[in-house]
Amino acid sequence: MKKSFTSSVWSFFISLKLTIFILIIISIASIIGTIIPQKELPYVYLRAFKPSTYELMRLLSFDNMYESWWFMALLTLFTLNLICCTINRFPSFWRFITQKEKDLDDQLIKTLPLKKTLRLKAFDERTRNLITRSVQKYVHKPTALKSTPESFSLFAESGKYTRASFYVTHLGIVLIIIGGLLGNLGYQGYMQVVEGRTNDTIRLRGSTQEKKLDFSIRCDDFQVTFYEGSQRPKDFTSQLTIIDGGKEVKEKLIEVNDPLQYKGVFIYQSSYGTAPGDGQVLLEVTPKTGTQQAKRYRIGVGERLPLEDEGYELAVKRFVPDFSMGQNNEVINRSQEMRNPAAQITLIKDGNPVEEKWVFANFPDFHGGQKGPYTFKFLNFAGREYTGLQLTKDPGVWVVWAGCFFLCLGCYLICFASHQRLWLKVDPKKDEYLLTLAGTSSKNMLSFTKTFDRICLELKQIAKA
Amino acid sequence: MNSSSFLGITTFLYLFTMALYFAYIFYRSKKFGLIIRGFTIVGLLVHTIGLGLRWYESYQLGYGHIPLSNMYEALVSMAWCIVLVLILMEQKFKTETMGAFVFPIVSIAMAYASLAPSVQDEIEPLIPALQSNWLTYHVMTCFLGYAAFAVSFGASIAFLLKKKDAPPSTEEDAVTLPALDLLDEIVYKGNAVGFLLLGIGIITGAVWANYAWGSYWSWDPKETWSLITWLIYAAFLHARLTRGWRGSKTAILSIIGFCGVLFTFLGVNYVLSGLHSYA
Repeated sequence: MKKSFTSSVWSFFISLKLTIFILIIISIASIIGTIIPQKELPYVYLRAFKPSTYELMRLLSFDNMYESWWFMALLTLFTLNLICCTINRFPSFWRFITQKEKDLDDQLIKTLPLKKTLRLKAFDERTRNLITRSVQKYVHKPTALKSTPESFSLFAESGKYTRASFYVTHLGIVLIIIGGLLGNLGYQGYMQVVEGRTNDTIRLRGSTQEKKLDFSIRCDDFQVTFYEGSQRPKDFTSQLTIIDGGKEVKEKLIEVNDPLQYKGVFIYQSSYGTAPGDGQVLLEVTPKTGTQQAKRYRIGVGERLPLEDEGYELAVKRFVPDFSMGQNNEVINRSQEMRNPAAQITLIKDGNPVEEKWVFANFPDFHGGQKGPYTFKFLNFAGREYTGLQLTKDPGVWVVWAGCFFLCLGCYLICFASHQRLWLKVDPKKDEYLLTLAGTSSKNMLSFTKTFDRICLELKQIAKA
Repeated sequence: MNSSSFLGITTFLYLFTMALYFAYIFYRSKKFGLIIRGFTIVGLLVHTIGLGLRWYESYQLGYGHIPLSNMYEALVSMAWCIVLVLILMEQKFKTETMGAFVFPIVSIAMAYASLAPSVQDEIEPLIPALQSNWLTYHVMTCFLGYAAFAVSFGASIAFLLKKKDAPPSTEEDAVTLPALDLLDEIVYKGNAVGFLLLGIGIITGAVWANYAWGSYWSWDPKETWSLITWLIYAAFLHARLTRGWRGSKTAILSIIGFCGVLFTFLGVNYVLSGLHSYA
């Protein structure tokens, strides 16, 4: 008979082969992902691969594999497979849980791995109680299946519900995957906030895209401490204030391993650095004539400061950390590193600019187009520190933690808890009685065998008495 | 005496204990078994003093951290965990003979830590990301898990050798190598304990990463490889519990799993790079 479409789809989803196949594919993909760097900028790949190979890799999302559609599809397929297998096994599991234990008959005894037969000289109410009690000591409260003056049978079990432990484990795994997929609804990004400033825009991870938050973050203070006598940072902290709707709503001193949480967004201390183009320039100003000494001035970028000579002011118009000239002789900044720090300064007399020029920290004696009454030397630049913050919003994280809890609980039950069953019956045989004890355990037979032996020993003593 | 001298003595004690374990395979006696147990425990004590002193010394240097932060400390602590788990398993299963297959791992780890030029044994300060109690929980659960896998690996080798050498015989053999059933049980128990501990280790790592970096899972090579290792042991448990595999088949799966452990613990650091590059 031809199988219907639904039943063949069903048998596809419940097959163990599918499980193994998906797990192997996921493992291979994961291994490839640990070899090919993930989420890097194109030039990183182009150094190692041909452009055509790189195009193909991008097409198949090999540069961002763990977030690619096909990896998500594999995880979804795995989840469906797990759910279907679990549903498929449920009826037989339920039958097993709800069934009433049978009396210990000859057919049942054949299937049990542990059995022992003892002879009893006499059997009365007292012996019956002693037997029940010694079973109870080791397994669980026994239920009498049959009890007549001449014969007696009982059943005892413990850990029946540990049979459900694989459901608990699989539920945990499904929850973790669902939580992980839910996490794609959130975002992860990075922002820099200069001390004293406010920022509300993050750069999303693994892309050049920006995202505006519905609140802003002000960094009131940033501190970094170093291990004594070394350049290794010991700790760095930022005093942050959250501003939402124009109001200061929350503040916290965050550090590595201690984030701030606001509106489901976690704000982590991630890095720090000095912000070029936003700091103070240290200049040495020497009058060309007269006997006056050189004087040093510290001027912030975009600020102006009166010199000690009457009427003169000095302003720092712009600062670039890596000065260079473009094709049309315009000033360009090549990088954010202090390779060729330069400042554009303006000398002002009575409110009117009289001289404008660039000074260079690496070339202190360069005096191009010197015409004013002073020579200027660019000594040093002190940038303002910025704090690097990572922002994460993950709506699935609690689902993942719940999944982890069930996974651990399930694994513990699977590995260390077992369903132990014990049958006992006493039947008259000629002028004495025959006591039969039999049992089995779903797992850990070795330790159950010890328990079984101990019960046998006690029963032997009862039989002797 | 500083921590280095104690750990040096430990290495020699372990090498000697390994030789005793080898001898035990051929000269079996209950008394000899007890002597070996004694040496193992003394070795572990000296080892513990060495690690404790190193911890104390890190406080004197002003760093103050548990010795789990670089390759040297990882290897030495790993060896400590393996010996501890070995003693506990030997105690539980009343046998001294897996040691011959576990102690080579311990001795290699100790010797590699002190001899390999690429392994620096200086006490270094912790980078801010590692300054957390989660370091202890995460690394200790993972290491104890690896240690349980190592003991199971030793028992798997013992199982395969015994199965190959001697056709099933009884009482007499029981002193040299534990009886096959017992070894099979040790392989299973060790892997089950390791599976649970590695699972908890991965989860504590996820909780910590979520707290320190803002993402519980970032497909870092070490994370990915620990997951793959965990999946191999999951396959082991499924094979045994639902398919009823026993003996040689599961012993081979257990050895494959341990290869995964070795790659996760060492290979990732030397071959791949990522968040865990410091240890």
